[in-house]
Amino acid sequence: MTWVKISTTDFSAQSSVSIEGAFSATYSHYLIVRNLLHSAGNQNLLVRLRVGGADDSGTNYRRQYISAGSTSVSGQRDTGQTSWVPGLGEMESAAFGWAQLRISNPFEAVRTTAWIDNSGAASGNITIQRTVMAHDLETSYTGLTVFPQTSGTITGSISCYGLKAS
Amino acid sequence: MPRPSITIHNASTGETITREMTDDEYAQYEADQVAHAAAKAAEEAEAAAKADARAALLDRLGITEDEARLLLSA
Repeated sequence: MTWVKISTTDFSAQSSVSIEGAFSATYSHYLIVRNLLHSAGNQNLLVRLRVGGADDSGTNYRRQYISAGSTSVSGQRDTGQTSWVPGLGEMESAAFGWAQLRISNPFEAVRTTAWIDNSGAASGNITIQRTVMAHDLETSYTGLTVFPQTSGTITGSISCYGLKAS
Repeated sequence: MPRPSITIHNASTGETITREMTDDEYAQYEADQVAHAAAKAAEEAEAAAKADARAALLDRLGITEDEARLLLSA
């Protein structure tokens, strides 16, 4: 199997970034990789699915995560959310953060699922987090929007890949 | 004051547009900010209530937090 690059988007000081036309019948599984900074401290980068030039901001997003920091392990489940948190992981203002999000079947009219592995390194801390996410509507989506959880802007790049079976 | 700027990239055509938010987009942006502030405040209130309850319990038991941790680690 091979990841085939669909697009890379470079941007500077944006409050949100949308990628349209990334999901199609060509691929079922997608990898979203980001490399970016946030303008004001550490916070999550959220994700909404998108079609027809508009984001789905309804309460259709769910997540379950497990987080480990030092010897403490914690978990949490949230339903009825208006976006995936942390859709594309935790960002920092001092260093480019890297995270990868995998999305399954966003273009098919079935429930979309996703998972992300990311690290958190805020304020001298270091944690590992794995989050699985789901979307409740059986709708076909062609893209996504990413945006910071609170005010501020993002600078960097986001790339989208499709999984080729052979 | 200008509204927040957004970028929309079309992966099919390679076209990228950077512009200010529309009325609808800005309304959603503001709603997201309000919702996050409310959720954060609720989270902080819950954490403060738990800390108060823990401190009150330790006080009733007459032990310190380190001593409580030692008891629970056995």
